[in-house]
Amino acid sequence: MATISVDKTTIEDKEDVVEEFNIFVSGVGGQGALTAAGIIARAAKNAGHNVLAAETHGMAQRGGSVSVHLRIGSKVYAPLIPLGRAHVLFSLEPVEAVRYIEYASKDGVAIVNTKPLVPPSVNLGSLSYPSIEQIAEIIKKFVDKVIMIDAYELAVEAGNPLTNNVVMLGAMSHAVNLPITIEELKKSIEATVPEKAIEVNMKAFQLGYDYAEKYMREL
Amino acid sequence: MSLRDVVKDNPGEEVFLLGNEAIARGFIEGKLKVGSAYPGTPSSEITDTLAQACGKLRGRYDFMFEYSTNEKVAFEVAAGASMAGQRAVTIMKHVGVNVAADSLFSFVYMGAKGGFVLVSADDPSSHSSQNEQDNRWYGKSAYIPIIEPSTVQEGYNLAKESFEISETLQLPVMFRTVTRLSHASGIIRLGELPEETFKKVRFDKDPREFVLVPAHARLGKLKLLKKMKKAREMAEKSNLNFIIEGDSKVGILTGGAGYTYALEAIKYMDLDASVLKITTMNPLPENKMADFMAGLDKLIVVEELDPYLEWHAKAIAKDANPDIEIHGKLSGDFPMEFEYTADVVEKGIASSLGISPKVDFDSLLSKSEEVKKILPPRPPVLCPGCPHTASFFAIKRATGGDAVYPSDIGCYTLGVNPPLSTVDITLCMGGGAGTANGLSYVLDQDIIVTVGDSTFFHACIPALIDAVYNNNKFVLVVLDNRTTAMTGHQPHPGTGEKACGQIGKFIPIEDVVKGLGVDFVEVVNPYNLDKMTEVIERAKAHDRVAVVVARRACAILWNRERKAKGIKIKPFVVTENCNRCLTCVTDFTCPALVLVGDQIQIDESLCAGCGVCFQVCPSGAIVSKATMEGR
Ligand SMILES: Cc1ncc(C[n+]2csc(CCOP(=O)(O)OP(=O)(O)O)c2C)c(N)n1
Ligand code: SF4
Ligand code: SF4
Repeated sequence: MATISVDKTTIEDKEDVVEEFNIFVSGVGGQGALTAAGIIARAAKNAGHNVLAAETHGMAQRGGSVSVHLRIGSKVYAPLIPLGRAHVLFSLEPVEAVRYIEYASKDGVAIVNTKPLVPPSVNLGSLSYPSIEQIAEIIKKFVDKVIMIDAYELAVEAGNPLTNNVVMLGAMSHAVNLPITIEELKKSIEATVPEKAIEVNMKAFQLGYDYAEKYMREL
Repeated sequence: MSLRDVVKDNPGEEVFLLGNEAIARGFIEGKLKVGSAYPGTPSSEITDTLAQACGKLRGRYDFMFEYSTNEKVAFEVAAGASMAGQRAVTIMKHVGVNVAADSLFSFVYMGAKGGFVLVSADDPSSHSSQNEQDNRWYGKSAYIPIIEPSTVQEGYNLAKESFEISETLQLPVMFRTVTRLSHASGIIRLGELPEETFKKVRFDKDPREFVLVPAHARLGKLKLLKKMKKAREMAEKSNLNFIIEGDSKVGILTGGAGYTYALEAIKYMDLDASVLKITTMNPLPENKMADFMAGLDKLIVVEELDPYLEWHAKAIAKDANPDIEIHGKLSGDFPMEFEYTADVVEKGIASSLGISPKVDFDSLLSKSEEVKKILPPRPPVLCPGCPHTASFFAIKRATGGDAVYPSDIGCYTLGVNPPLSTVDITLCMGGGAGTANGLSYVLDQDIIVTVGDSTFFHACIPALIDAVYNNNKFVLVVLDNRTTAMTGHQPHPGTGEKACGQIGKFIPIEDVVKGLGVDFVEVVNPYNLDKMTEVIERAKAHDRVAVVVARRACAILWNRERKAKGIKIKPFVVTENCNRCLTCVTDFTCPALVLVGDQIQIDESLCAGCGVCFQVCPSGAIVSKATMEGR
């Protein structure tokens, strides 16, 4: 008889000071949501944390809504974040923040890009795209701390609109008490983006960080 | 999360991998010799990873990997290698196992010589499938042992050990995974990357094993039953099925993804229940289950889809502990449908215990449903420049929308949505042409069937032969976008590329069709709307089955090709000649065409430059930017 050497304890409680930290990332296919989640995951792993992630694949990717559940810590077992238990709701698109609003924890933080991407369904005229004010109002009903940020504009300022996901990471690194340091996040960005894009991404990160600092001061 | 990590030669290193990548690495460490697959979400990243690794590792660790015509062929490819004593794995999505089932049900009578693993990637909630069937039942009906991991690390471990399990039992083994595991990422610790060159062997003939004439089949059945008995003993002793002790008289019986949600619930609800986690879904460790239940007052079963463990638990409890209360789907505490989530399981456990969950999930959900009513939906759409959009638009124009449009499975299924609305039936792969045969007997309407190129080779050919042979009349439009797009752009017989990058033989669809005796066969570029429309009109007028091959590469491939060659995409723009008739968004559709206020604009960052909207616009208001700028 074969001796099957599979560990009995398939889920070990990894030694980790962080027990559970959940980040829900959403956006539209092609916006860099998966990349942003990958950057956070890599940083968390390098910081010695246990990391679990669950992402949308297949049919759901064709220009559709994209979401990633990111879970960090020794006491996370399932890849999906439980409802109402995301410490951070990180959305690259305003409507896509509301689409997953039930995941946000009341005492968590929502970081939402205000640049809308209007879905083709609006062309056919059944539903219009809600205003940003309306969206912010809704999010505030579910989350105490909400940061609305025009990451697109800041990314253009940094030199490349595609860095809007990194602008948002910068904002998050200031607004949220993350189990990852800013240095670790930056290192992970450097390891993820192409070498010639590092500079513009670092600028984007800083612009996001500064924006959040100012925003929080004004709150 | 990359191939680089999958092929790393650094035992002990911790890497962050997608579940499917971890499973692929497990098979490599377990020393697979031959791999075969037909693509299908959620299994695709296992096969794509093996396809790439096969080329990358050549010379260091050699194995063969192929994309097969369909799952039945893929199964038989792996079965052949196993008959010759080599380790083989065949990978498919849950519905693919239905296609391979004929081979499966008899191959178990032969048993496995070389370790044989059938990966069944199930899709609870039908995220990217036509159904959410629970393939654990194949274990019972086909007599195949099933192992099912719950976590990424366990997926990797089990993949690695699976060949050995198969060889010990001399039986094929099914490795079941679900979308949430396949597409979850986690940290695994790498083992040894094997080192071995490929050696050809000689076949050991043994007709009593390999020739299933009735007399041998009867012997095979007896052997199978003996082997399953041994499998059962192994399941009873195996540490793959383990107990986490608690202090109460409540126990949780669980497996697969359900196990991870059960652990979450225990954490959040502060429960002291014992847990029996099942990994060998077939045969089940019935004695272990009986012992577990013997000391309990209440058993809660946490499993996705069918009440598979629950029914077995009920049967076992009859002798083991008739007084035990069993809660699960049959008791109404848990839903019968869709994948589980942490809240579903917490609610189910709370209901089984007669308490309320810590969070009022129902009111949270109803509150969020309420605010979401104003959100415009964002369903998946055909890409900018997708040739399928052009084909559907031409089909609609040629038929005035008055025809029946059976279709098939692939990106083009999205043609069901308005304004294209040219997909009326999608059943299963090959089902479009198949049902068209039946429809042709009873309908007094034109029938225009669409099928993708990969699907054409997979299951459409027998249905087309049926049409030729029986003189059934319909038009079959093969949407030949030169790839299997839906599942991640895998090659197929009509591309001539092989899985590991080498060149195979290119099989032109029109040659196949002509060879079958179809006498109307035309190849057309769907980007040319007038031509495409005219060909479909003629095909419709033909008095027997007619085939139109609409050939144009998937826009994603076209974009990749241009990027590689350094060719800039030339976008189209809307000029002031636009009279706001909105034809381009109400009759046609493209994600790059956006309505801003009452003005149509083309989002240049999205436009693929296909120029189809230019042909759709009745006022000539859409032009190439290059033309407008006089270049
Ligand atoms: C039996 C079976 N195997 C696999 C799949 C997964 N699958 C869905 S569509 C598709 C093929 C799509 O390729 P093609 O027909 O070329 O259309 P395209 O997506 O390129 O438009 C596959 C493999 C399935 N649904 N059923
Ligand atoms: S991936 Fe290719 S075939 Fe699929 S929708 Fe996009 S362009 Fe069309
Ligand atoms: S040319 Fe027109 S149809 Fe083609 S991708 Fe651009 S906007 Fe879409």
